[in-house]
Amino acid sequence: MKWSSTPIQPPIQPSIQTPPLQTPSSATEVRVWDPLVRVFHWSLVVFFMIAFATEDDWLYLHSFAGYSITGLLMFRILWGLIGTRHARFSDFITPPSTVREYLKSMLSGRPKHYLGHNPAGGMMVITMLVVLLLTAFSGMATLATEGLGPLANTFFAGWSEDWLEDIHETLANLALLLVIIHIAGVILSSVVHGENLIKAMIHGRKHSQPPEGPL
Amino acid sequence: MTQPLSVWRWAVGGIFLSSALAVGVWGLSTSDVRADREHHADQYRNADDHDDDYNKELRRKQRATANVLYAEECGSCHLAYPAKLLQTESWQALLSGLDNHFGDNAQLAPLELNQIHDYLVLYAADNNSYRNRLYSNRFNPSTPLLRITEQPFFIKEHDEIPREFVTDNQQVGSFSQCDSCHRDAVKGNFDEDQVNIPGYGRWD
Repeated sequence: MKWSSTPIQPPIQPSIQTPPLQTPSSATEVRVWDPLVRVFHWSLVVFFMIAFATEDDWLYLHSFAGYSITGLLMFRILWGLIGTRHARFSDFITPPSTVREYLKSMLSGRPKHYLGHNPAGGMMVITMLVVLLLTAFSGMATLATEGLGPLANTFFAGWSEDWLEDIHETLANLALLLVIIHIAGVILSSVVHGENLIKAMIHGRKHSQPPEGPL
Repeated sequence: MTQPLSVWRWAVGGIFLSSALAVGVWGLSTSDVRADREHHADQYRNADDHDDDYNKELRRKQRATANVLYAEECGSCHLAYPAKLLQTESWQALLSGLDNHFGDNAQLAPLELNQIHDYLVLYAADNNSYRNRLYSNRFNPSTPLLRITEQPFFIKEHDEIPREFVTDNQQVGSFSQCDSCHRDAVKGNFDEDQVNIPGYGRWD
């Protein structure tokens, strides 16, 4: 089975290596999350926890967790543009109306199934990327005010340290809130769709269940 | 058509992801990270790692004693300036010239001098440099600056204070009287919101 770079049409010549993504059988497993996406996800979890736990008591550790997160975010943005099918932004960015529809269908107990991120999950991914990027930036700007970090001696070093620290903390708390909502959403989705989304982020596979959501 | 993701995309993605992880792993593994902890100062920490509880406790008491000694001996004439305000070299130069301590004779008995020296160096600005990052001077001048008021951080932090607040203020008189305005100076707290300038009130 290969990771595809383009949305898959029903294959003309199915082979053993590349079975069709959509099959009538609900037992068919398909690869959804490629290895880089999975490594990214769990690394982000680890470094976010480190950064959140250390704060400025262990500033060196905190800064490096932050730099690492920044690098991970840059990877994820890149991968959202050139990565595998379900990692692409185009696969999971939907208009807000679609998100509302999805959430409504979830309340009704019969949500549409999406193989990649569902519309609400997709919106969460984008929100988290933005909030974490701003958190990382405000953190580096705070360091810069003390002559440290990659932004030292730049224009940002002249900003108010107190403000930046407040902003950085608020954003980090917001990110934690998003993480909590994200976990709740994953659990809820797992229950209503009858699939273990946490495991899917570990081994990368999902059951391809009909009815399939819009691709 | 189903098309495998081209090799260059995997390569670029892989490089981005592994560089991000490399930064984190490198940061976690470098020794400075461990040096960043509370109890620090190499000589004590290394000894602590290889010693039994009795000796650890003994050293803890020695450190506590040195702290009291410093407060008594030096604090009897002026504020017992928190050790983090000067670099190791500055403390050493200062202590080796106590017979002429800014014009006064402030000599100490050798035993006490040693204990105070160890205590000040242990908590000097360049030890535990991330916690004390504000006070440490990265530009290490060839001759150590002895006066706290000459330190770069000090000049930078006080450049907005008008003369009449301190030097011309009869209740203060000099920038060396930290605790006139920084009410918790003796505890090492120099937060801006603790500042209360005699005759002028709060700064923030």
